[in-house]
Amino acid sequence: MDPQMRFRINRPEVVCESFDGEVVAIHFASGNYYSLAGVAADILELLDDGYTVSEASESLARLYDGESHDIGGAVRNFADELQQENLIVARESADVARGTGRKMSAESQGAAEKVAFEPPRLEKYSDMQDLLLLDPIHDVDEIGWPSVLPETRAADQR
Amino acid sequence: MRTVASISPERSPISPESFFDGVYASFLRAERAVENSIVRSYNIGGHKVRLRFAGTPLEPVLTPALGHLAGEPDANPALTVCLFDSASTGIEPPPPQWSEGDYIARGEVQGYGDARFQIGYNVGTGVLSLLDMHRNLAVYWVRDARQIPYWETGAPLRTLLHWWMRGHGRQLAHAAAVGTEGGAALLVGKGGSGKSTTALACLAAGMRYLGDDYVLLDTATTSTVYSLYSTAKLDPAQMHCFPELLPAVVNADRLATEKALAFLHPHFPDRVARSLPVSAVLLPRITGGADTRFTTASPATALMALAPSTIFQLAGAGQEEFRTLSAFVRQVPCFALELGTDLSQIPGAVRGTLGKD
Repeated sequence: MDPQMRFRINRPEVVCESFDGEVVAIHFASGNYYSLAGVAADILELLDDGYTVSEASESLARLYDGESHDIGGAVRNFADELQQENLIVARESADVARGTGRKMSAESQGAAEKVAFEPPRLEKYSDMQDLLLLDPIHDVDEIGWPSVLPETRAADQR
Repeated sequence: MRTVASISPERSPISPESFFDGVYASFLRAERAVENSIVRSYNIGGHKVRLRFAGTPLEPVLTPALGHLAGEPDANPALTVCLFDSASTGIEPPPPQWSEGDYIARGEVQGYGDARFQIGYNVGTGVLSLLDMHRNLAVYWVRDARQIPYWETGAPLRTLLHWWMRGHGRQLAHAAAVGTEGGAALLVGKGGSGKSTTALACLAAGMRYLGDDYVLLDTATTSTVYSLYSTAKLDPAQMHCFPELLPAVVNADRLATEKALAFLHPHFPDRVARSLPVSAVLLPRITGGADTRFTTASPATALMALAPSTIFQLAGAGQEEFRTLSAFVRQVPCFALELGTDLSQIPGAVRGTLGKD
């Protein structure tokens, strides 16, 4: 992972909602959905604001109590994981305006001292994927309309 | 099984508008071809909806779940749905204007339809759904009413109602809802989380019931939940927990292969409510312990329980629905509901969440 890379959330395939330090994301094509809390939410939102991986690491190092090297490594690994999950994609242009004024989760806690840096975690849920499976084995009538034979129907639907 | 494509390479598909008009013309022919047609009127989500059946076989299969919403006939309904089948009328719709590979999940047809004409075919149920948003006119077709699976009977017209309602201030949600006169609890979570158990335990305790699987949410101005189906669907192994439901079960002879399906309105007319303000969002979870208790939950957790299972079931649902559901859970307090094995404790716990903020 090049620390100078810039990313954005992979919209419209991915939708996100932020709730005071926690992000819920859905990847429509895969059927996976995700929860990102604390520093994980911060990293996603910094990257989507146009920060490079390196710049995001520096911002987090100012807010969290931890070794810069450790924070930088954790951010790179996490950005890599987000990319592998297709939650973020590389920006096509390096000329992006960085967002300003985002209140990060460590600030939301209102602590006078730095919050200890915890490695970011991506909570992934795949239990809805069966709803996106292609339709069941079916027959086709002489006009072209498919139908599922009763004996091949699933016993129930969700 | 044949795997032929319905569109041959030398034939171009007709436009969605022409296809809609063709299917609607088939409905009109079917209506003329039969001796008896049926018209039913409903108040669904605060909107007047007319169902116009060509012939009689579909009406008893598709309307019991909507019985509690029956209304007076209206000369100008907000939505008219025309329903026919080919087995009883002898009338076929035009052939599909897409290839067999275009059937994708959620009853969608890939690449066919547009903002005005929404078109879907659910291979699992054999239901063709078409909606013209400009004319507020929909068509529902199946080959044979006898092939409609029980889950479609329990939650009929779901795709059409989702499409139309989202353009008229209502969001169909995968959720149960129960409450008191003062307010309702929306029960969210994937299948098996305990929504039906909670809803039926509350019904048995005399609380108001709005649904155990699908409801409509007012997304325009207020946090209101509208009942959609007065259906209860329950694992047969749990039937002994709710003996008062037995007279309402309509598929008692098929419980080896189907969930128990009950229509509650005729048996509990005073307990089935049409709408209530939402006072809380609850996330039930079966714990295996004896006692039921509730704790505060975050709106993010509630959205995780509500949005994926709703969006991944509804044809065409996506960003708009995610944002709508997100806005909804931000408006009301959310609680985790840890369900114990003593079902008699559940109604009290649910009541305990109502009015808390």
